[in-house]
Amino acid sequence: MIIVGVIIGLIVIYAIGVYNSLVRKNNSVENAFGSIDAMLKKRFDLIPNLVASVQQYAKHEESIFTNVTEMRKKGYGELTTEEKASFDQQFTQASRRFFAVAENYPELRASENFMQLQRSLNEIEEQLSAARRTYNAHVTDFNNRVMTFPSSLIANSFHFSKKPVLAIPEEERGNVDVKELFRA
Amino acid sequence: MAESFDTLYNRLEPVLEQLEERRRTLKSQGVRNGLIAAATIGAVGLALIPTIKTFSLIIFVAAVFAFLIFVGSKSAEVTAFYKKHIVSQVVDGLLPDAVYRPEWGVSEQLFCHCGLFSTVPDRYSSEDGVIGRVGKTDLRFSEVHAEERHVSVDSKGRRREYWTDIFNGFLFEADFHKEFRGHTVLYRDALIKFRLGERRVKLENEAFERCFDVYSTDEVEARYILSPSMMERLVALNDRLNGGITLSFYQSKVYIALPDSTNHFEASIWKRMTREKIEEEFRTVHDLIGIVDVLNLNTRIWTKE
Repeated sequence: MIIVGVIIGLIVIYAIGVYNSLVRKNNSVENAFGSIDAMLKKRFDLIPNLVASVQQYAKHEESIFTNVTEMRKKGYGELTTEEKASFDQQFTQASRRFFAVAENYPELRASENFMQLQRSLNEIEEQLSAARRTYNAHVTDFNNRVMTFPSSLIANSFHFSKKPVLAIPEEERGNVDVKELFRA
Repeated sequence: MAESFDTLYNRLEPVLEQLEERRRTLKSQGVRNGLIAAATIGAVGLALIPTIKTFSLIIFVAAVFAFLIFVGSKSAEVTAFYKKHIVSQVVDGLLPDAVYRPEWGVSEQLFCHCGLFSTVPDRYSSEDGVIGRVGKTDLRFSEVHAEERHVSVDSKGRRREYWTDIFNGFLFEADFHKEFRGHTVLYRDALIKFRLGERRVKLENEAFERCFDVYSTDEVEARYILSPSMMERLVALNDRLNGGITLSFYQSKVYIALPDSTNHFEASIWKRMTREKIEEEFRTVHDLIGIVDVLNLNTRIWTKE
C-alpha cells in the first residue's frame, strides 16, 4: 500500500514538473517571438528614411515603397499579426528593389545617407535573423518536450501542441556578400 | 603589406650575426664571472667552516646559485638584444606601424574584466605586447601568466604552498565589427553544460557546438554575434590555432585566450638562435594578427565603422 502511494506520489510530482516545464517553455517561445516583433518594429521605423532617400535622389522610383508607406500610416502597434507578416514580406521585397535601382543612381549610392541606411538595414536584418533563430531554438525545445515520451502524455492532456518553426530565408543562411553590398 | 618569412629572414641575417657575436661574448663573461663568484664563495666557506659537513652542502648550493645569477644576468642581456632588434622586426614585417613593447602586457584589470577567467590571480605577469591596427580593426595582444596560490596542510600540521596556472599563453583583444551591449562567452565544450549564474545558449552548428559552450547575458545578441558564418569562422580559427581557444565578446570587443606553455620571444645564452626558432615566432605573430582576417573583422557593413 505504501509502495503504491509512493509511486502515485512520484507520478504526480513528475506530472507537475513536466506541466510547469511546458508552461515555462511556452512562455519563452512567446518571449522569443517578442524579440522578432521588436526587430520588425526597428525595420518599420526605417521606412521614412528610405522614402526620403528615394525622394531626394530617385524620384521616379517612389512607387517602390508605396505599399509599405501605406502601412506606415498606422502605428506599428496597431497592425494585426497578418499585417505584420505582410509588412515583413513587402518590406523585404521593397528594400531589395531599392538597392537594385540604386545601381542606376550614382548620386544616391554615393550619399552618406544611403551608406548609413545600408548599414542600418544590414544590422537590423542580422538582428532579425538572430531573433528568428532564437525563436526557432525555443520552439524546437518546446516541441521536443511536447513530442517525446512520457512528457507527451502530460502535454496532450493539457492541450499543448507542436508549434511551427519559422522558415529562415535562404539569404540569411549564407554568408553576407560584401562585394555585392558595396559594389561601386 | 606583410612580408614573407624568407624576405624577412634575409633582412635579419646581419642582425642575427650580431646577436650570435654578442651571445658568445656575454656567455664567456657570464661563465667567467659566475665561476669566480662560485669559487670565492666556495673558498671562503671552506676556510671558515671546514669541519661541519652540513655546511659543505649549503656552500655548494650557494656557489651554484651565485654562478647561475651571474650567467642569468648576461642571459637577460641576450634576450633584450633579441627582442629589441629581431622580434620587433618580425612584428614590423608582419604588421607595419604596429608597436612591439617587450615590457608591456595586457593588464591584470583587463584580464579579470574580459570575463574568460572566474578566478582572480594571486600572481600575475604579462610581457611581449603588440599593439597595432589591421585595416579598420585595432588589436593588441601579449603573453600572460596568471597563477593561483594554494596552501595545503598535512597531517602533522605543516603548511605547504603551491601554485597552479589559471592561464598561461596569449591574451588577444580586437575591436569587433558589430555593436553589442551584453556579454557572451565561448568556453570549451564541457560534459556538464551548466555554469552557476550564467545562461547557456545552444546553437545550431554541430561542429561549433563540439568545440564551444556558449553562455550569454542576451541570447538574441549572442546569435547576432555568432551568425552562421561567424560560427564557421570560429571553428576554422580553433583548428588553425590547434584548439583550446576560448573567447569573450564584451563591450563591442572580442577577447581570445590562446593557451601556450612556451615562453615566446626569448633567446638562450647557451644556444645559437636558429632559423627554425625565428620562423616559429614569425608563425606565432602571423597567426595572432591573422585572427582579424579569419574572423572577417574588417567587414564594416553594419553601423559600427
